[in-house]
Amino acid sequence: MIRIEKVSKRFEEIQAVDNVSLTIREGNVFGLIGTNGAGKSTLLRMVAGSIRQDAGEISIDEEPVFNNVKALREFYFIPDEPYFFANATPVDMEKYMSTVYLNFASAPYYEYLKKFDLDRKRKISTFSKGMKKQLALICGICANTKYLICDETFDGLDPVMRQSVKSIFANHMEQRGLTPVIASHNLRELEDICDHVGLLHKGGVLLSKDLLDMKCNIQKIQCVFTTPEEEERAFRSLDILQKEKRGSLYTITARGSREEIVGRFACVDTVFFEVLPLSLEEIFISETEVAGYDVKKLILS
Amino acid sequence: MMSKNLFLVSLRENLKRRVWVIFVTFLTLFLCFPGYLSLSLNSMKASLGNGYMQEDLLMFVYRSMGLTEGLMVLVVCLGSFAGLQAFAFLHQRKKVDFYHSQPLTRQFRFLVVYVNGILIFAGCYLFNLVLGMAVAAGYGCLTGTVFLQGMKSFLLFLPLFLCLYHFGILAVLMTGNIIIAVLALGTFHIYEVALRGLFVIYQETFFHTYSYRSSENWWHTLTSPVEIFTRISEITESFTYREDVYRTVPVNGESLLLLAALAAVSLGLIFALYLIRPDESSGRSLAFARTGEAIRILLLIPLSLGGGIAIYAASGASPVFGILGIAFTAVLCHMLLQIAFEFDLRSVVKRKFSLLLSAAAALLIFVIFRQDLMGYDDYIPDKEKVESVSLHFFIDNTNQSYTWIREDGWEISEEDYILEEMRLTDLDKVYALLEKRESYEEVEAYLMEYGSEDQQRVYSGLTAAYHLKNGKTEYRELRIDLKGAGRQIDDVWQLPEYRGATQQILSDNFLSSYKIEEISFYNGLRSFDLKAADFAAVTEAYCKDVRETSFTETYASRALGTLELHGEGLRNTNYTNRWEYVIYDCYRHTVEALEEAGIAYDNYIPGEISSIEVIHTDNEAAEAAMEAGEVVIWEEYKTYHSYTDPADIEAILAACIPQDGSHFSMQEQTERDYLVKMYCPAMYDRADIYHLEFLIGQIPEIAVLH
Repeated sequence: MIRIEKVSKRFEEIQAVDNVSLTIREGNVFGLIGTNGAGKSTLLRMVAGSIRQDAGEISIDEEPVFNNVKALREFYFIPDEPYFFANATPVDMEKYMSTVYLNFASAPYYEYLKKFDLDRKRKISTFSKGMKKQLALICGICANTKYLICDETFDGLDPVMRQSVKSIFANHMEQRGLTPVIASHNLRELEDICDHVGLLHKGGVLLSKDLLDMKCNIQKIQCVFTTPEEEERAFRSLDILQKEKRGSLYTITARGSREEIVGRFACVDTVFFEVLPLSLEEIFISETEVAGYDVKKLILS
Repeated sequence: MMSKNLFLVSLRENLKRRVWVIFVTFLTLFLCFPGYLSLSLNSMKASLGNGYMQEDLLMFVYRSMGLTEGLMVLVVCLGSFAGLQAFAFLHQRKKVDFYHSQPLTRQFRFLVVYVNGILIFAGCYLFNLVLGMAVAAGYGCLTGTVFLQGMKSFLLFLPLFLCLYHFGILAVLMTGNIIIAVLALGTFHIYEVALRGLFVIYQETFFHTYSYRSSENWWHTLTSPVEIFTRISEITESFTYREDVYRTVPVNGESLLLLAALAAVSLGLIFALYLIRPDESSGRSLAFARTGEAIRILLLIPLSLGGGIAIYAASGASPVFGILGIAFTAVLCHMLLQIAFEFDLRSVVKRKFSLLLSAAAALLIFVIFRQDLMGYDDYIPDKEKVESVSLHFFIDNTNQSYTWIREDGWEISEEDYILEEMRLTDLDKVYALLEKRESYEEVEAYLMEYGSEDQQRVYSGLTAAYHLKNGKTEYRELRIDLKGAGRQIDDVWQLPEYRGATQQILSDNFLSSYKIEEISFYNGLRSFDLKAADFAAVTEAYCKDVRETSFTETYASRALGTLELHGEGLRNTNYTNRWEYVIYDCYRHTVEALEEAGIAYDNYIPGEISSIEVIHTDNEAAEAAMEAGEVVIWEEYKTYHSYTDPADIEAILAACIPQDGSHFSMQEQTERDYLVKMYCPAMYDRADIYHLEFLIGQIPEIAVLH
């Protein structure tokens, strides 16, 4: 388990991460979502031991991460811009990785290269951005660590490749209990892979929940009320995050399970009423807007 | 616990990442050892043909393997390059993420990278040294001495390399950008020297009693490896003129220890900094943002002081310009530093506090020096703190030796000898003299009012060295009125320690100790050799005169000539040491001893005289014209007159002394407007024209010209 407790990090005048607490359990796919500059990369770099937090504690399986080999052995970190040696080929990288990661799986490494159609003898510097990300992922998976920390790794992968990676993740999760930690602002990418999400906003955690719980605890309602009094009554009973009216049709985003919402509308007279599932993107927008963040400008532009 | 295997594997992997360093180091040393040796030896052999001396080749090889300037420069460059490259990955975020997220401790990573840098240098050096020796062997020049010289040089270069390597690493660790790291490296190397130099310049500029001796070896630093290294073996000398290459170059153990200590301290520092360095600083100027303010101030103050003193000097010592110079330089340098630190032109207006603080500090220092608020010029240490004092009068002309010989045989300057050897412990007499010193302002005011021609006061410089009980020596350049302080000077002059240090001839067994082989008397025109049998009598008489004559008496006397003594070199028998002592007309015993030896001091006439020419220069008129801004053609102010009548010649010569001899007197004894040229047939050994001058007030009527 990766435990992040009250972690803060400041870069001169910028508070990049502010008192963040998160727990990443084993066997789940943890998605770290947040807007640009929310502190995702900084948090992941701290989790990876690449930079040191100013305050708080980060531990992996109860071992502090920074400069601790015992903890560092437990994960492989794929930064947003993975690094490969100058003029190195995938073969060179395998040779190096196998000296650093004692359980590095060389045979599967070459199999994956073949599967992903990456030439083992071609210079990595001639690879496209997507190919480099694939190679970084292959290195990460074959490092055979317990956790795989990916920062924006899925960006730049084509849909087919994304599906392949997801399926590899699923296999490794099943076979050896791999726990991927994936940071992205591409919400649609995380939606169908993550079990748990942490939502970072302006350096702090807005929420950290199981995706299923989150989806179940926030609902989109479309309804038409018979009278303004009925409308008032319904609004009073709901924990509304967002409300929009077009003609007489209301689109409301409110907290609560589907059952709770339906129960509250049972005693409200409506012409039309429907509870719809929210996409992760919609949940993200709703939660960040509550925090006063004009997310549409960034995410939807 | 570190796995030995993992360490070796990591070393190998790290080496692969440093191919460029290996390539550059190997190539450089290859060109330096086998390359240079084979080309040079071949060339030497070819140019000398069959007549080449094997010894020449051997000496060349021996020298090439030693501590040469060229090798030193190479080691400095290679060390800096290796240091800058070793941890340059810290300047790129991608690489930092890659390396620091690996399951290796930072200590382990540091060790791997650090050790590899040394292995690359040592491996390349030794390999190419061996290749060089193989080349030398091919020319029959490989001997045990050559081999040992090569190994010794390697061992002495190693601490230099380590220091440079550490400094390079330090520069990288303290910065986040390679250009800034290179600038930082340069700053590390020159900072202390520059600071010391600036201090010396300020002392020289503002303190009137400052003696350059106060800052002897001012460039000797504690933090500049290159400078310390040059002290280890006097490398520059060994390269430039030491032909006796087989002589073992003495290794200065103290400097070697200092260099080793510097290497050890810098190693500790870089190790600690590596562990605490914020990794997020990649790409920034400074890795430790909090040090920025301190670094800015530490750079701005000396830079401002430097700018201030430069503009002060350029403006003709105007304090206003000095202050403006400080302000201008502070602002300019602050802006440049800001751009370097923040990579942003707009940042030049930021950090005003450090600018103001630095400018204020620089200004304060400037004022402290300018106004001498520390009382440097008034300094005279308490008698209780003084062990002894050495005094060197600029006007003490009794000794005219070109060189002074220390007991160990080394030649040193007169001033060095006196200040090293003289130990005046009668502090009452010394302080009575020092109390008569006059301030720069007093002397300037007097000279301004009366001019240097006025003879009421005659100022002489005096270097005082206070040897303090705490082991330090403080030097001051003072000004003394020789007439006003005549009695006090006499008191000091007669002290045996004073006379002993100013006159080596007074030392016991001088003739035998310094192997005196030849003594002659020179009256400014002619030289007369003494017979060996007369050596002792003449030198004894001279010593007696020196001991018995006071300064006041000597000062008023006229120099008759010099006693020249030649001795075999104590260190090198091919060299002759030479002493010259002035004989004054008050040295009666010496004059008598010379006469007894058959030498007449006033025998200027070398033989037949064909004519005498008197040249009068109207200096007063010429100087007045100069003051009026006219272009002075000196020839226009000169009058010539020749005399051939023997009676005239006799009258003129009776009033003259040789020009050379007149200069030995402590005060002017001859007319400055007249020069007498004596023409003789060119049959004598020296020349056919001799220069003489009229004694003051003794110009014969026939020679007065206008």
